[in-house]
Formats: sequence, C-alpha cells, structure tokens
Amino acid sequence: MIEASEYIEEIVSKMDVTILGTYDISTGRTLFCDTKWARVGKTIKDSLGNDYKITEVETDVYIVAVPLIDPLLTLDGLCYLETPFFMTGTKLATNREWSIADNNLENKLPLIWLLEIISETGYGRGSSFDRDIEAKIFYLDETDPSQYYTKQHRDQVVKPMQKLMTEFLKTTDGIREYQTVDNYRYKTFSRFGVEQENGVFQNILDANLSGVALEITLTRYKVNCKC
Amino acid sequence: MIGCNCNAGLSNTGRPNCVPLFGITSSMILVPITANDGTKNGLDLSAPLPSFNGLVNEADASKRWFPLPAFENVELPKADSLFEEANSGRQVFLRQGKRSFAGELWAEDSTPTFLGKLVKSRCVDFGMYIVDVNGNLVGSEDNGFLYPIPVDNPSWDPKFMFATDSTTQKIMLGFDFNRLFDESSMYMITVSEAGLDFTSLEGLVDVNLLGLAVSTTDATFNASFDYGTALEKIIYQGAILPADWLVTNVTTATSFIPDNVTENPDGTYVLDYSVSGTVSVGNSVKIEVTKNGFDGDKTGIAV
Repeated sequence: MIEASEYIEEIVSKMDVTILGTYDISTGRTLFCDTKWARVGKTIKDSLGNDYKITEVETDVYIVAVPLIDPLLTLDGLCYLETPFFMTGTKLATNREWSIADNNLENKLPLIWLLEIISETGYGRGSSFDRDIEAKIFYLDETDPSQYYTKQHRDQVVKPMQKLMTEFLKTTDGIREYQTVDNYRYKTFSRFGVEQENGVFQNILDANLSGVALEITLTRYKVNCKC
Repeated sequence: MIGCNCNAGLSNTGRPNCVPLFGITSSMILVPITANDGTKNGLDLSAPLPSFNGLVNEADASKRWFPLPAFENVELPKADSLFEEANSGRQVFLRQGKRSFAGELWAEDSTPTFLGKLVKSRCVDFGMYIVDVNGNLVGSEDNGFLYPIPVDNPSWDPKFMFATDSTTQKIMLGFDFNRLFDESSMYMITVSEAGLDFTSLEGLVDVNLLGLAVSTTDATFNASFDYGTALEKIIYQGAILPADWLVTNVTTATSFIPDNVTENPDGTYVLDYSVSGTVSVGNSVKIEVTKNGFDGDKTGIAV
C-alpha cells in the first residue's frame, strides 16, 4: 500500500520531458509537432546538454532559441524541457516548503502541486480495483502581472500549463495500472491566488503564478501481493 | 474436457499464502503456434528467460512476438457448459462452454490501416499471451514450457467502428479460445521475474521502400510507413546508421552492411556500399530494414 501522493509523484516522474525538433536553417526556427510546455524565457537543452533560452514559441509549430554558451550551436533533434517540480501539501505547508526548496525560481518551476486533503475510496476483496484517488492538481508557472495583459497571461503561461496537464494525463493513460480516465474537470486562470468578486487579490504561493487546476479521479487496479 | 483419473480421490484443497493473481487483461502478444522449422513457440522455463525485445524484433516472423496495443473494455466471458438432461432431471456433463475475448482498441490504435494488419492474423494458426495491467505475462504451462494460449483463429474478428457523437473511433476485436484449451494450465511470469514490464513491448512497424534504384555501388529509395493520409504517408526518418540496414546480393548470396547512409531530404535514403559490397550489373539486391522496432525489405536489379 503506497500513499496517494507517491502515486501522483510517480506519474509526474514518468512524464516525458523530451520533444523532437528539426532545425530549419532558412528561418532559424526549430520545427516541433508538439512544443509541450515550452514557453518564452525558459531554458531548453539539446541532447548534448547545451542550454538555450527560448525567445519565441508558436505552439506545436516551432521554437526559436538562442544558445547560452556557444553562439554557433543550433537547437536540433531531441530536446529536453524543464522537468516539472512536484509538491504536495496544504496551501500553507506548500507555500512554506516551496519557498525554501530553492532560492532560484527557475529550479522549481513549472510546479505540479497536489493539493491536500486527498480523498480516497478503497475497494474490498470482490473488486479488481485497489482505490479511487480524488485529486486536485495545479500546474503552475510564473507570470508577470506588471507587464502582461490577460491575453498574454493566457498565451505565455496558461497555454503551456494546459499542455503540461495534457502530458500528465497522457502519462497516466500510458500506465496500465490505472483505469482509463473518462473525464476530468479543469479550470484555467490568468492569475493564481485568492479570488474576490473583483479578481485575484492575494497570492497563495509567494510568487506570481498562472496555470491550470485539474480535478480528477484516478482509479488504480490491484497488484499482486509481495511476501 | 479433461478425463477423470480413477485412481485418485478428490484433490487436496489447501494453498500456500500469497499466491499470485492475474490482473485485469490489458493487451495480448500474438505468437504463431509453430515456427517454420517445425518447433513449437514457447518459453523454456528451465532455461534463463530470453530477451523479450529480441523476440519482438526476431528476424524469423514465424518465431516473432506480435504485441497488440492496450485494450479497453476487455471481457473474457465463458459460455455455459453443455449437459444432457434426462427426463428425471439428472444431468450429465458433456463439455465446457467456449471462452471468448472481446475488447476495444481506441484512438490512434484504431486506424483502418491497423485493422487491415489485424485481419490478416486469421490466416495463421496462432496463440496469444495475455498481458495484465500490472505488466505480467500469462500463458499455458506444459512440460516445462510456457506456451501461448491457442486461439481458434477462424473466429478472429476485428471490426472497425466509426466515431459517433458519444463514442470514439475504435476497432472491436472478438475471438474464441481454442475449445480444447485447459484453463487450469494458465500460469504467469511476473514483471520482477522477467525484469520487464510486458506492457512496454511494442510491435514492429512495417516500412515500405519505394522507388528503389540499385546500382553496383549504391541504392536509392524512399522509405515510408503504411500509416498517414491518402496523399502523404508518414515517412521513415532517422535510420542513418549503417547498422540500420542490411544489403544482400541475392544472386551471390552475400550480405553486407553499407559503408555509409545519407538521408536527404527526410525519408529519402542513399545506401553507399561501394567499398564493402560486391554487386555486378544484373544482380538481384535486397535492401532490409534492420533497425529495432521496424521491419521491411525490397529487392531490385542492379543496373
């Protein structure tokens, strides 16, 4: 019996952070059929571990990235996006733990946050199901409230975080210990925080974040006993 | 029906703790019952387990494993057993009912192209290993071998279903187990025993080599898959290592790996064998895909 947050963390660890691109020398763009959660300002690595800064993204079409060390390098082939940072906990606990996790914001974003309290339903001997895990998961990345209009919040952050959520769901679909997910609910928000009638008035985590909140029930099948 | 052993009484009914149980059926691995060399395909349980990726990539198709994608809504119903009933109401067992399989392949696994590949299985005597959701492999144990469970191949019936307002496109697959299959012979190999999650095995992808032009020093062709649109098939990219290909001079019965491979534009290959190969004008030359996960070949005459 493993604790529910460990199962979710296991899914996050199995998420594929790679994207395959082809550099187009005539435009200076690297063509990708799936840009996943790539976004402007973030770092992307090539297969040799060279870092590039993303300067332009056309979702699921191309990325323009400049090399950070050798200016002659071009982004081509298998590329690695930033690995999501996973956390679980209540609002207060997560804010504290996430704040002290790393001083550099880049090392702890994008954030996948499993909100506690997690509700579970167990099944008895007559069922092939082990449990239902009712989870609320946030997919968050930094935003710039002083510079961005709402449209930019959505383009620059919400859209990539929606893609991050999609990758999470795709990963879950590929793990056969889980029943296929038929439906889920999600909410996108330009600013992540405590809302009033007039909008967000206070951050929940100590950073300016945007993203998606997913509400999902994951059903796990039973596994064999280990003696 | 298994006959009675008249010298034995009832079977002992105790069991040890922690007996392994099959999980929900997730997918299957199809395997021909008999290889072309006459041997029965099965896993020798007295020897170290083979490389399962090697079995999937086996060059001899009659020994190859053919994993299917993950199924949805799998059911394995068992028909009622058949009895003869006397007027008195007394019944005599005649035979057990047949075991059937019904499952659905959804989304990307449900293309008409894939349907065409599934339909062809009916023409072969084959069996299947069941793979459960936990990645274990279930087969039929007999005399120290784990054999695939025999399928009544004429009952093999894949059907294409169009998408509707409330359902996705899918392939519905149904078939019966061989009616003589003894279900008490089923055993499994677990993920930890095999060192492999059997759900991770994927079948080979057919590669078509089109427009093959063979000379005495090189071969040029386009490589693509069966999948894609009517206008544009998905191209086979990235097989740029010499070891990804094998060239055989069929006329002289010699095989060699090309000296180098160039791909330009994507999907168009030139295999240069000017140093390693010996090909004369008029020789029949076969180009084979040898990269793991793919299968295909084409033969041309050198000019």
